[in-house]
Amino acid sequence: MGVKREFPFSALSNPVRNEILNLLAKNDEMTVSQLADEIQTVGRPAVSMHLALLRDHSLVQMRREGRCNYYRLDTSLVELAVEFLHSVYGDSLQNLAESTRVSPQTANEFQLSVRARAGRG
Amino acid sequence: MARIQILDQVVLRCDPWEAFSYLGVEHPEHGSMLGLKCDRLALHKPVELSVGQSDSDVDRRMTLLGRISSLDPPRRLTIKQEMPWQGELICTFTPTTDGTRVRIVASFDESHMASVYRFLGVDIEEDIDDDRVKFGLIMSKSGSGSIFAAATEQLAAMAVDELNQDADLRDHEFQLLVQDDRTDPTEAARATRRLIQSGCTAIMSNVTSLSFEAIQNVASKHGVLIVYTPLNEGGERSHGVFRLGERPADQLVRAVPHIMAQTGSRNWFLAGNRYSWPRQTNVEARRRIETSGGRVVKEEYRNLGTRDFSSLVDVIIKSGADAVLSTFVGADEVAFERQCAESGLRNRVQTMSLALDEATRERVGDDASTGIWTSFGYFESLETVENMEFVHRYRSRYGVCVPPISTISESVYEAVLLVGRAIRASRETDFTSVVRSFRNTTLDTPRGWVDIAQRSRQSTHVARAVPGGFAITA
Repeated sequence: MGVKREFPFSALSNPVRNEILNLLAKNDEMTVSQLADEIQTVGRPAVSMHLALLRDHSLVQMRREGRCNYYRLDTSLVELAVEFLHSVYGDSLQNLAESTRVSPQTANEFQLSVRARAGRG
Repeated sequence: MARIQILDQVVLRCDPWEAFSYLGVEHPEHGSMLGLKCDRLALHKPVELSVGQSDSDVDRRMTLLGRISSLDPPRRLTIKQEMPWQGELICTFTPTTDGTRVRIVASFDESHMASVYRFLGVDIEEDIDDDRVKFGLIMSKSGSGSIFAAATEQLAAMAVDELNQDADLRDHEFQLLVQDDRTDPTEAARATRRLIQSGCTAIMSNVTSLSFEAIQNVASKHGVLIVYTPLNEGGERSHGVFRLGERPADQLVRAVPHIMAQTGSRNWFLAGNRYSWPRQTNVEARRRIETSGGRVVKEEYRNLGTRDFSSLVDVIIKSGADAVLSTFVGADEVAFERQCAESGLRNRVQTMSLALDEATRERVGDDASTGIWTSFGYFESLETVENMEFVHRYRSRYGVCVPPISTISESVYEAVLLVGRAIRASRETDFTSVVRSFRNTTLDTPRGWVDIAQRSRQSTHVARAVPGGFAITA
């Protein structure tokens, strides 16, 4: 699963950044001007700012060629989704592992109640 | 079909029975495994998982809905996840020398990963088949509305397949594109723009009327047929916009006098979510209650997304009302009805709920929902040949571990067939032809005969929640 990092929810929760990711997913590699042409809701400086934030979160990478900066996705969508799903399902298990020092009495009550429930089902 | 699997495991320092008990049993200090909540840990019963990170700054917890597809305590539990994306979760418990290894394998068909990307805000276009006529569906896969949206996507897909199987050589074939509004008008507007960009000829909307307003605002500029399928309060007539569902008057006209006659209740408390459908419904309710010889003692609203109703329950108790009319929707309605039952209020007053469909009732649970009155144009338990065949087709296609059908999801099935029939009748797909043809469409559906020209009224049934579903009483 690689190095665990905080899942970049904040980077994803913005319509302009979502649009940038959508465009890069479709077009492979684009310049700021190309991106700004496609995104009509905000201007070029704002697009640059969002790109910088996406780079900080390792969601896009940049390559300089001549006078142009070319942007592409740093992580594939599948990788991003897998990382997200891992954070969704894995965290609760980890929390539980850290906190399984239950008093024996409480544990017994739980076992009785879950046995009763399962029996009824 | 490729599958994507997520695996996570921990060793808990306890025996398998104790480890298993963390499923569904809320521990006072540690919560439950996967944040799992359910009424009964039993086969095919609905469960809710509250998962994800939560730190001091932001709450990133989210709610997943599903049901138990296999159960073998204390060894194994399988959950079929339904919302906001589809998948399967297998939890296994294996004894080790120092405790129990708990392993969770979450697995997803590649075809369902688009819903995950979309949930993350990354919405790449689906494979668009240029030869097919595109139907857009906007539904709530997350947020309060994900409760009543259960079965919607399955029934829309079934309707499109049935249309395509019926096609002769000259007929158009159809493709379904699905979007999630997250029970939020801004997301609904975004979803509408997406569907229009993808070239949809018609958009079926199965969302709150709050979201529907946003959909209408975007779509009205683009010449696309808009069908609002669920129960609704009506609204301004607009070219190319059709509302199919029950109106407040349809739901109330027989139900209010029936409940008052059956129970002797006279003093009503009106409570619902703070937006247009509940408010408009209550205008009509007040009229029906007063003409039936009752009175309204109080009317209160709470924002969409409310989960704590304790103050409202107190107000209702103090008001002296002997009947409650609820217009809370989805997850809000689930929380409200459960809290009414827990507080003992349910036993003291009659409750009628106008958004308690089969999917919502199941989440309220048998114990907390039994006895609640409701009224709709469709129930899964309708004993007509059309409906029994429809339910049978749904079950044979998707199996037994599926959400129940309700008036809200059936309305989408019906809408897809109606629009498909209209397009086939006109043989054209331009806006003007489609709208003209749709206006004259009629069809025998699971809820009965539908005539779009006469659609402003529909007949309804009054029913009462019983364990497992609804009993139609009038």
